[in-house]
Amino acid sequence: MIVTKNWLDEFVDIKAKSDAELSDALNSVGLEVDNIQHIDIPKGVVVGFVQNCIKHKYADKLSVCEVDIGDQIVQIVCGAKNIKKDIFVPVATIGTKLEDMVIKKTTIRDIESNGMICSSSEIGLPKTNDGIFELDSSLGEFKVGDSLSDINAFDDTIIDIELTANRGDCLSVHGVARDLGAYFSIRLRKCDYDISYTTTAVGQLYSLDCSSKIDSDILVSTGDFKDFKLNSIISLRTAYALCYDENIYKTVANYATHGYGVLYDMISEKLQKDKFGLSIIEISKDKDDFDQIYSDKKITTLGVDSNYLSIDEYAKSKDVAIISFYTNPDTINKRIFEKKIKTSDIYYKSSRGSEPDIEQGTKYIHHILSSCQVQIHSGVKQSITSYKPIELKVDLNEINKMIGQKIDYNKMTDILDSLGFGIKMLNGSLVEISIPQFRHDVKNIADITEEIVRIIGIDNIKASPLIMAEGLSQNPQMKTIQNINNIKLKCISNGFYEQISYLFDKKSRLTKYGFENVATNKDITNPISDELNTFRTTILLNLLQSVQNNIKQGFKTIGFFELGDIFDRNREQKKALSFVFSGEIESENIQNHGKAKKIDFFAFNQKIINTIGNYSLKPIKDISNKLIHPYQSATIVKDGKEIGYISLLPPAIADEFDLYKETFIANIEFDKLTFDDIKAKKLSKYQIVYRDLSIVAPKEFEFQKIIDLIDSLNCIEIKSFTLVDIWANKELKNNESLTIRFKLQDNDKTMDEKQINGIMDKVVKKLEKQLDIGLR
Amino acid sequence: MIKNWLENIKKVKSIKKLEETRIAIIGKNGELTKEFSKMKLLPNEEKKDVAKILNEQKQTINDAISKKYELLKMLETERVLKKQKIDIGRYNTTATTASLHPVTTTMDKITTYFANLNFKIEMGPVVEDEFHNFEALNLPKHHPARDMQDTFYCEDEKLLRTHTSPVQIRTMMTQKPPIRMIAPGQVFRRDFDITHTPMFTQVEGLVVQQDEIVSFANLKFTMEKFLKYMFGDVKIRFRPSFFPFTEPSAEVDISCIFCKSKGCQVCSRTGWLEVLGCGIVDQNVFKAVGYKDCSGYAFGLGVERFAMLLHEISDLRSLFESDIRLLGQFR
Repeated sequence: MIVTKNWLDEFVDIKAKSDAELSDALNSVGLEVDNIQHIDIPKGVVVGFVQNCIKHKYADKLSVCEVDIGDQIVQIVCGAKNIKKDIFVPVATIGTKLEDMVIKKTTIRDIESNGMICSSSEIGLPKTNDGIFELDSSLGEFKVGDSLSDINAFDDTIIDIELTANRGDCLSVHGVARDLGAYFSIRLRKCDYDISYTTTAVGQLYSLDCSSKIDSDILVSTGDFKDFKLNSIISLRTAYALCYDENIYKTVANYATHGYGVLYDMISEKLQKDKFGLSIIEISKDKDDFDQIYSDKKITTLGVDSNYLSIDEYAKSKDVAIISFYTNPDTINKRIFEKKIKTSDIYYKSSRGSEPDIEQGTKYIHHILSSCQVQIHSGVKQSITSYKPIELKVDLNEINKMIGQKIDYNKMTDILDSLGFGIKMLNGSLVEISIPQFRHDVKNIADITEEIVRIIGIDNIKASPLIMAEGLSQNPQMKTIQNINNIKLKCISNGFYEQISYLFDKKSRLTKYGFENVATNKDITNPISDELNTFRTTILLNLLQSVQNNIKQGFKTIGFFELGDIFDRNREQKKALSFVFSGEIESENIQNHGKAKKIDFFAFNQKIINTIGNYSLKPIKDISNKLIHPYQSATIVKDGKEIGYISLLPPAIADEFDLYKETFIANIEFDKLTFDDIKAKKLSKYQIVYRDLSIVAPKEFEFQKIIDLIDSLNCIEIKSFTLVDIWANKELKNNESLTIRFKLQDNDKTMDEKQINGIMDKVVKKLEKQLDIGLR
Repeated sequence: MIKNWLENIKKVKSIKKLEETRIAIIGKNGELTKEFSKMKLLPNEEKKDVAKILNEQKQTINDAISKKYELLKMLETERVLKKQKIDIGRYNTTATTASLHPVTTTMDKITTYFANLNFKIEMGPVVEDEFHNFEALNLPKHHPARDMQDTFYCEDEKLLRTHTSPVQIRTMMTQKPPIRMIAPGQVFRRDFDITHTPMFTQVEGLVVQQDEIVSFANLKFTMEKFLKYMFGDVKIRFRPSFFPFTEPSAEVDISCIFCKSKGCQVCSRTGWLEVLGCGIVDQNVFKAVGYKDCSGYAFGLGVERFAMLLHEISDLRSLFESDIRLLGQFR
């Protein structure tokens, strides 16, 4: 909503307030100021009077003008179509700096030109009509030679306000003025316009038939538009308010709506005529239950669209009917929602609530039209349901409790009165408040409180703490967050950056890499783009995308994790913890002579173990998607549960994404991780013994079988064992020697040789018997 | 003699040689030791004087040797240490660990604050229904905020939550007042440009009391303290605003932390930055969840916006692009 200081001043006396004061006031009452700017006309632009205007000798489209600029009469060549004799125009004199040029004396097609006659946009104003911007008395008093910036209309401040959806009453300059008046405790000006009416009456031109079933209030008046000409202030202000239109009928209605808030329509008298020759206007319900203006066909749907004729069509008719109307926004919104009707610009205002006082609104547009040489005919035809204000009994003390501060009752009633609310004091702190029709958003005591708070200013309310009984804030969610944060910290210490990516993916991409899609009947109806047209069912593809982007930036070590939501086919939301690591595991440095080690399966696995805690791996049974390598991958088993997988990215996929061939992924079903309190085992105070065992096994013998076998011994003295060396030579043929290092410890005594050998013998015998593997 | 010995000690260059010299002088068969044994040949009256001199000499030699020993020991330690000298400039000094996402750390900062004020953390599903996301929040069907433009809908009439407010509704429907909660989580709006991403992160808070009035002054207190904790010494401004689920409502600005209120591009030359919305809970919301005689306040903020202000990140979209050039700065 754009207003100007001068325009506001027509409704409330705020001339003395500075721009900063206005800005603070508007922000304080909840009308957020987006921008505030004083009009700045370049120095050297003066009022000129075109004394003479003749065609250029050598150029049809140019005119040569003699222009009085006060101290002299200058010859100026002008290219505008609308230049003519006997008008006042803005002239940029020699030496004037305009936005992108300096005015110099020039010769245009052999004729000397001493300055420039300007359009509105050339002197830094918004664009109005094509061609030069004609000056008239509507802009304020001026004489030839006056600096343009000294004219009242140009000594103005433009204020852009962001309105919240509930404040339809401030969609007009008058409405904003009302709020300012309440804030500054200044009464609104009494707007009694002095309009001279013709002797023609509405009834002599139009036959108006108004159905009793309509919801809207209607007031029809008429005028003689024969000499209708938009004056300059209307062009200028509508241009500022972004509602200037080439169609001057529309512009003048826009101006009046923007100024006072009432909605209008302009109907030409070239309509279906009745037997007396009167133009028929019917206001009735249309098939969708909206109020319509109808003659032999539908002209317009009130508050939903507005079908202005072209200027030429209007010009065919001397007389035009001005329809002022108001429809309750709740009624219109519900109906639009039910019927899903297409709406035009006017709906923005009608849906938020236009000004209901159509009688005053009609006077306002008459006043404006009169200034544009329109002769208003006498009499009106109207159908106005008298408004019964909603009355609210309110205890002012309750309002004070809601605010948390004692505010004087008189102060409160004054504020409400200045905002147009009716007040009747009952007894004590009890009052009866009648809500004006233009504040359809105010319905209860909380709304009334908001009005008080707005005008007092929240900054003037003293903050005070809320004292509450002590309670326990720990709940399972809190625990989950702590667990998540713990895991995240371990992720980053192992070189995985945290990623946050959209919970969307592309259907075809998911399918291509073998991931499921959310069922069609549960998928997103209105995705934002083809790339993000479904719910993601994995985080891994987004992770690969991130690696790709960072490789493009030249990074050689790239690790990411994301702990986020994914969805299954039934759109059930689950948490996944996914990892990717690509490229070098260390930085290039002097120790590695610039050849940094690349990530491999074991190093990657170590990182994952370090983040989620000890687990074991077992061969993957079914490969669920195409990111899993068939031969270099494993299922992660933790606390007896299969919780995810770890894999080298198959080379073909790495190529497709342009990734380093050393790229590993892991995926953990986060909800399967348990965070129970760990019970500590008894500590042995006896010495630890290490013992190596070398066995010979066929090459490609799955080591997991050996692990399972040793585990199956359930020997409590074996604390751990690790494969530390693999060795082969010709003698061993298709076999290889595996060295396993055992860590042994007894809980109750120091182990002696006999006990140690006994354990190792047990292992060897079991290996020989069950796996046919012996000592070297 | 003593001069010679001291000279010898002085010349010694290693601890080993020093020991040899010591033995040569005061060892079992050392030269000075021999002088002591010669003493028994002297007449008794002389013995006392000679013994005194010899003892003094022995003391001098011992002192010289231990002094020399300290010196040699120090030199040797220095030699060992010097061998281990490195050129620190040759080594990498950047972390090989990674970093949490700034949105996560900002979120942690926010949740920690409210958890310390005894707020519970509540969470809810991202796929929601009309009732929890709109209707219960006093957003009737024909409200402009429910336009198809803003909300992602699903084929089965479910939708992606446009705010975390449905979590508040779910909490109120399963718990009784008093309530003190925050709902952090991802929310979705159908908007994608320089200042909007289709997914972003919110924290919303709710306080409800039974049979007593929670005032606007109470809300103001919490918001002011919170914003000072987040942004330090800033000025705070409340502007009346409108949200369907609160009445009265306000938007809260902090003085621009970039230009110190002088006016810059970030604050659109206003000197103020809008950071959160809040208000007194609308009675229609309580009605929808079956609460009677309750009052409370609610607030909501965008975590990305806070992260951007705290870390001076200029482009919202960069937070979703996993760019190590950005993330690497937070190690």
